Amino acid sequence: MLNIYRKELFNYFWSPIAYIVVPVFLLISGYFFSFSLYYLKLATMSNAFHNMSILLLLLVPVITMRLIAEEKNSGTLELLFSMPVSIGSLLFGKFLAAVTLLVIMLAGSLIFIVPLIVHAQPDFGPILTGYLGIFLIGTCYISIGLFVSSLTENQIVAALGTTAILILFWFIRYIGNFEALQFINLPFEFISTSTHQGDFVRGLINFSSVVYLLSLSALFYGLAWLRVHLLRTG
Amino acid sequence: MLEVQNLTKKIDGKTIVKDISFSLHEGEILGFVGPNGAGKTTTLRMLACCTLPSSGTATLDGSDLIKNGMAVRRNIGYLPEVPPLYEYMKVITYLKTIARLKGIPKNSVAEAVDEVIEKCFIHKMAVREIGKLSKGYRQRVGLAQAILGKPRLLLLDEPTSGLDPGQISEMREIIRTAATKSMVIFSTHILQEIQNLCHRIVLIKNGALQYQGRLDQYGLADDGITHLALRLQGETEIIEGVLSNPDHHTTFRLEKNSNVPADIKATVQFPENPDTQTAILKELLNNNIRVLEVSPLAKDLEQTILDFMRSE
Repeated sequence: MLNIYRKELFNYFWSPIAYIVVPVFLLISGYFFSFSLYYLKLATMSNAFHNMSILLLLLVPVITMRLIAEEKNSGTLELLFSMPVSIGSLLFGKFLAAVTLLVIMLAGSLIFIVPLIVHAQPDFGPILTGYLGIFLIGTCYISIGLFVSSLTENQIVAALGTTAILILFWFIRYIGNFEALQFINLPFEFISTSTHQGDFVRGLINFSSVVYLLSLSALFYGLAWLRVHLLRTG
Repeated sequence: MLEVQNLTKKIDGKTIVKDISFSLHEGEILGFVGPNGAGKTTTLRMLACCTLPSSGTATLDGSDLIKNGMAVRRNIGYLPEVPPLYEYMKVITYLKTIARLKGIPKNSVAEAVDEVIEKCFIHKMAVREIGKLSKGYRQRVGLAQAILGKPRLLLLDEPTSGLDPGQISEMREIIRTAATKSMVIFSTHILQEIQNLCHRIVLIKNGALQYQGRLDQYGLADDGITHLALRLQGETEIIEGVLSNPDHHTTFRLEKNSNVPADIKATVQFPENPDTQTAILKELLNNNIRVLEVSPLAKDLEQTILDFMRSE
């Protein structure tokens, strides 16, 4: 697993992905944070977390698009199948490398706390829960991206497919607002990732939110495992 | 030892490989020959543990391919038709990564990588990015990863396709060297490769095994005909007269050497009988024809294999 993890991490930092995704994430979320702090005079991170979650809808697919699709396209997945590497190690190594990049992005955003401390006395509780929430949502996005990447050889298709699913999960809570769709009796509010993100930003660690996000991660990770297993068994 | 028993692969209800059985011993090079779509690559992929057989099995040194997949994988080196390379890596980084993935102990990785770099003549390219290498070098890097860790079984899918004659010759040498410590199976369309490298062949068509055995015995099972190539000097008419003597029951073809008109190459076939051969040569000499060279002609293997591939 460690060898796959190292290889994936090497790939992120060899290719332009890490050098584009991390600065773009920090610059855009930094801009919105500064706007909120200096223009709206809000000495909290809540807006920043909300904007970060939306940014991740667009950036996580860039991180995950190549995870399996690139290996399939270049034929290296066949090579990995012929080696003493289990599917579990293969997927977890890749998943962990993507999570590492997410952690680096989030760690970079810790710098936002400095002006908060300088200009006000921030409440660290919601900041900590906000980071926990965005981390859980990010890992959820990564699992979804990992699964979609296993469905295709084309990285662009993988990225677009992941974005579509992530956007669906983000906005699905609003489906209930459409009268025509009200006959569908599903807990859209609960299914939506944006609902759970709101709880964390408010400083709440809602047990059901944690379980839901972990379950969603596990579900897509499991689907990715099943897909790769089917590819291996042919 | 590799033992393959009734290996079958069905995809979407269609049988791609049907009941293939063969065995392979230490130091042997086995050629997989057959037309496109015959099932060669699928068989190699099953043996490389890239896909599971629908039925049948294979054991490598007693370890079952399905039940003991991880143990078998530790002893396999596989080079697919398109070398599986990480374009963004340097050659040495790639080989080190593969060595670690193959489970080569950490303290032996550098040594193992140096060894294959030397064997595959890629030391000059060791720090070059793979994406910038020529086709020949990419193929060598692919082969280097396959022989890393001295696998017991080396599976090579068309390892020489698209290479120039010099590269093919080098590739052959690498495979020959590798075969001293491994069993090698390789598929190819190039018949020269089979003749030059293989101890035995497996002919496969429409997913089924058609022949396995020594190459020189395939389809050439003695047809009772002797084939001779002669280099002669003398009058063409006299040569024709001797060779067309009905007593010898020969068929022949004459070709003149354009540089030396008196030099004539004769390809002669006649029923196998040492007396006939002596009689023909004696008659030629008695007619003042100089016999410069007599060599038994290898039967037309290429034609035989091509006939097999084209046949229904």
